[in-house]
Amino acid sequence: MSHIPGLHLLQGIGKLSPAHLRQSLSWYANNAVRADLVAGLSVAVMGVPQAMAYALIAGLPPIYGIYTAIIPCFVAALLGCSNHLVTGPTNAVCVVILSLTASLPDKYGVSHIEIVLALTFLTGVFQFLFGFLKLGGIAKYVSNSVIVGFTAGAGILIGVNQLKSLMGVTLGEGEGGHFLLTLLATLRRIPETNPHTLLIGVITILMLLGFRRWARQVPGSLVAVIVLSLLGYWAGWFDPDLGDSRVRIVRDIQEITPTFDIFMVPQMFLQPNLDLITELMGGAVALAILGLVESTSISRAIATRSGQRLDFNREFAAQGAAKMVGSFFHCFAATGSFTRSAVCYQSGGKTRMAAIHSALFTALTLALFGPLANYIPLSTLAGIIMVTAFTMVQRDRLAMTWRSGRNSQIVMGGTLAATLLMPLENAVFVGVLLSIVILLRVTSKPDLTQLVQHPDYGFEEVPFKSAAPAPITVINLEGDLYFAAAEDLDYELLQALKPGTRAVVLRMKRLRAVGSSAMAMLEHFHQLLAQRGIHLIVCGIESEMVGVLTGSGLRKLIGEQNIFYADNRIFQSTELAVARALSIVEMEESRTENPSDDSQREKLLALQVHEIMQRRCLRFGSQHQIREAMWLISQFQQRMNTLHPQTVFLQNKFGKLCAEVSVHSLLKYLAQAVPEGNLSGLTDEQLAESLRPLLFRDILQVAHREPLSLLESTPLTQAFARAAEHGFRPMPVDDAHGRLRGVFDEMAMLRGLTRILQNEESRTTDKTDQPA
Amino acid sequence: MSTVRDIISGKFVRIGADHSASEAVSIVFDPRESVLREIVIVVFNSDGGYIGILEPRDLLDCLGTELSVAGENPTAQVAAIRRGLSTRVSEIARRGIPALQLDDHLPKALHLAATCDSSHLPVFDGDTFVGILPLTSLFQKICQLTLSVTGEDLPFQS
Repeated sequence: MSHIPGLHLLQGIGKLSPAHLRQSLSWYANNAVRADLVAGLSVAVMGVPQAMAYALIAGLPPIYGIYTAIIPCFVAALLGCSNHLVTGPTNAVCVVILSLTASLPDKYGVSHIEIVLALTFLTGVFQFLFGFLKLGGIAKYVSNSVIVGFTAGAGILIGVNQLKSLMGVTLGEGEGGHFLLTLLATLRRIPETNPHTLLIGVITILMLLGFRRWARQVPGSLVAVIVLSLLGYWAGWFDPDLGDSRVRIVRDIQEITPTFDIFMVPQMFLQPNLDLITELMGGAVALAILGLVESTSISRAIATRSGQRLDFNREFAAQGAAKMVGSFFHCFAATGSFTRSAVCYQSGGKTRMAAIHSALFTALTLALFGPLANYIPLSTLAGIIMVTAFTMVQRDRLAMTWRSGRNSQIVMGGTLAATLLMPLENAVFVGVLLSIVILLRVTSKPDLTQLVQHPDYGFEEVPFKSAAPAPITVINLEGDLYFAAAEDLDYELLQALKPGTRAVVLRMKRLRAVGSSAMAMLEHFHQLLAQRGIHLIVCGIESEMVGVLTGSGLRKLIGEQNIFYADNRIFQSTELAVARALSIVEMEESRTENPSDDSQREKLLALQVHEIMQRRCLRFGSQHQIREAMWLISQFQQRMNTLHPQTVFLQNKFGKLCAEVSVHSLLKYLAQAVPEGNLSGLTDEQLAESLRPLLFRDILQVAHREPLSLLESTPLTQAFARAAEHGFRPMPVDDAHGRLRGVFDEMAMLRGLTRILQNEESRTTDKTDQPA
Repeated sequence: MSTVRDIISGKFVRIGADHSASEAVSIVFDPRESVLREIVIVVFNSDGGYIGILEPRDLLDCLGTELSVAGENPTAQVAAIRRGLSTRVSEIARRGIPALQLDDHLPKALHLAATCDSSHLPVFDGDTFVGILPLTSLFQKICQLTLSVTGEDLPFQS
């Protein structure tokens, strides 16, 4: 059942039994009601002036802001899950509403409020669907750079739009529109500035900034509204007889009456205008995403501090439902408000009832003081908006984002420019598009580096193509390897090859998004290497990639012996892969020797060990466990399909030979785990179980320390003498620095004997062929 | 429960006791490729009775010791090798290697492998020689059993 979309929204319904309800109410009355009431009152006191001011940003009468602070706030708190998110009018959403709807009343002959209500309902539908279909993750595609750029741009737009209200001037028909035109038109009307209006606006701004700086606990907006309304009323600046010098008040836009008879079916349901609805669709999606981003970031920020775990899909559905319901009560699109939510949390709000209380207190304020709100000067509300707009241009966040690199600069700058220059609803899309383009650009090039093995300190990571020429090239491939990233990567990888490269080890430890394109690329790379006679070994293969390798057939193509799987020990599989590559290279080198080359015939008279030694030998780090050495030998024997037992030479961290382990010594060590009296009573599983504890011990416990070794330059005769003393067991051959170069084993010894005989035969033949 | 029968190898060549080391070398060593052949020599007497196993190391014991005392003189070296090559295999075959029966279990094979110095163990069915058990095969089997048990811990699950 859990796969049914939207089912998660019904979770908890079953708990709504009378007993459960009684229990919840009892807990609430004892533990949270007081805190929630205080928080709700604090939010309402701060929020009422803000709500009225934001309605002005949306181009609506202030009363609609109050309605929006009541109904959507109530519904969202009832259906949502955040204990502190307070829903209501917000500046960024309001400026988008104005941008989306300002030109439409004339175009469609529909009132502005009806268009706003239609937009609100559509936005609610989209948000509800996002939550219903569990598309909450959509908000994460809007990056921080987009938010910062958009908020700053919206702040500038809001500030410019409110300049005229602050100055008390009115722009004529056709003036304004674009923010630059609005700014120029407003500046041109500076001589017409109403001094009283400007004075009230400036005092409002100074009061708010003063309270913010010196008395943060005081609800500055409310104090400013009360003080300046009284000042204006006392000074007689609201008197209609003053003419142009009169200060405009809220009543001049639409009178606030303490009525709650506000239910109204939006006209879009009564007389649907499909053209209008179609035109609003794109904006509704943008507004829905913007609202979700705001609500998500706010609730997440507060939940981080409160420790509450949130279900964002439920929160989105609640936000959508709040808008849909609100559109029937003269409410425009509301969303989570940062300032009011922060006040709710800081005032000690404990449950979602705090937001419900704030809605009720706002309604009470409207009922008790609604008529008085008519005397609030519009320039006071404009001052409140100007301060808000100023804070929206967050200089510290802009600077931080700017310092975060070129990609952040492009996204933030692009969004800011789009906000100022394009229709506002498109700005969010532009920002998201820029984020995605940059993301694709960054991830379409996986990180390529090279690893160089050092005897002293393991692997060193060096820039791609900068490693010194060597028979084995180790390439480290990290990042995303989706279709765009896989394009031409095979040819780029080839650039790491140098003359003399015989094997490529491809470390794929931290690859993501590996799909069919990546497999096709890898297959082609394998093919390109094969054409050049170069072997491919892959390592760091994570479990997710095993399936992809198998399914694509590459596991078979590359060969199981050339695939090394990731472990929790860093570079473990890389070490094994390099060891494998070494063995391949050395095996090939030994095969390419040409013992019958005439030019070397004279040298055969004084054969040295390095000329006949077996270069293919197993070497391994001395820090490994027995099981790993067993696996290495086992794999080697399977690959070579040999009956002849192998010896593994162990090197210390400086690359020097320090011990040797043979198949015989391993078997001898393992045999001690089998009780002698029970040689025929053990099943395979019991035998394995008894041997298993030994496998996890250090390989040095079973190794023969400081093995006798030969130098590369040791003459063959001397080498045979040493081997005779050693029982003709395989002997390691070192270079002058003590590093293992090969092994003087049975095969090398027989090879040496054969060469001596061949040399003698050719000398005899040469003498016979000479003319008498 | 695995037995020797499951891992016995048939990759061996029977030669008579009178054959020379030279012939044995030509059997186990491919001079053209300069590699050891994947074959083991088992020496029998004229009655078909098992004498022992002849490993490359036994051949080297015969030839290499001669060579090591020959010094730097090429002629002496060749003479030493030829001397060694003429040795009869019955003289150098490894005798007394502990033998296994076809139905012996792995623990016994493991114990015998640990007690001898040979790379191969002879396998009999009653008194009849039937094959050899290379230590590499025993080792592979042990790896197969134990590493599959511990497979989850290994970095290289295949």
